[in-house]
Amino acid sequence: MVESRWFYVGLAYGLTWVSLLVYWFRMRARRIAALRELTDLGSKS
Amino acid sequence: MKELYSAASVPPRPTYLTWFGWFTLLFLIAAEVVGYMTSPADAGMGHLQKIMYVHVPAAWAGMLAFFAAFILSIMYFVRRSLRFDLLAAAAVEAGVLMTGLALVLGSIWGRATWGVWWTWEPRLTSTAIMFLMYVGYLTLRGFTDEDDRRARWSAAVGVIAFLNVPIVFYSVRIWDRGLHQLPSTSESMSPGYWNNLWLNGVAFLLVLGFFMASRYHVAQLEREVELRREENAMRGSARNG
Repeated sequence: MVESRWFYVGLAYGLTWVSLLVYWFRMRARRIAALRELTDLGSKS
Repeated sequence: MKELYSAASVPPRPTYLTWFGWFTLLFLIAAEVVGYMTSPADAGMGHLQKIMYVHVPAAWAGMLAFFAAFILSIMYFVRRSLRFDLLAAAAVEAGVLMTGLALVLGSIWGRATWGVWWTWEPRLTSTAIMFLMYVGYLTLRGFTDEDDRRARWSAAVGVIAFLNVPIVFYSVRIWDRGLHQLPSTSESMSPGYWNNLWLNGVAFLLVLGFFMASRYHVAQLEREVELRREENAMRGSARNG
């Protein structure tokens, strides 16, 4: 029973960090994509 | 409205965001480590109690984000500035993340303590409805490319959807037949638990603030991309014409 309780605690904390990091990296990727596109558009204009 | 996003300059990434990000990360790690290490096992649920330090702050942060979106939506109607629309959208996106997280973490906690992943009791049901309403807000934004129309629709939903937030908050008091416990307060728990909860609550609010500021910056960049595309297309058609 003790092991299963730690499993749920670990799952909760693990999911929290994975969710926050995935969101942050996704936002970072969007930022880089936007900056690249701005550079491309600037060179074409 | 276009003067806010003139094509003359790319919105620079504010330097404070880097420091804010690092401070938030370190604060969150410290708050979780302190909560994890210093919190004694609960008499009933043992160490499962530690899930409270991520579940409750995520729920607080979600509701605060939706409150921010509500205020920003009203600000949009008053000022008619796209700045408030982009800020409200950033708040809703961060709020959906936090509320989704609170639902999943609550489900894990519920499975471990109640024996079920999900039950249709008032707090859980009203939170799920709130989550879906704000997912609808984000989906709605993709239905039109016209800035003013998108901002108007979003602001209307941002105001209407907020009506559900107080229902979620008071659901455990209004309906007393649910499984969910009453709101976590300094009176309902010993100081050791309350101080750790408060500390982790601050950490999650910092995360919320950082995500909102970062998302707003990305939205500004993406808006700039749209404007430059339009400018290039107009130049191209003028040359051809």
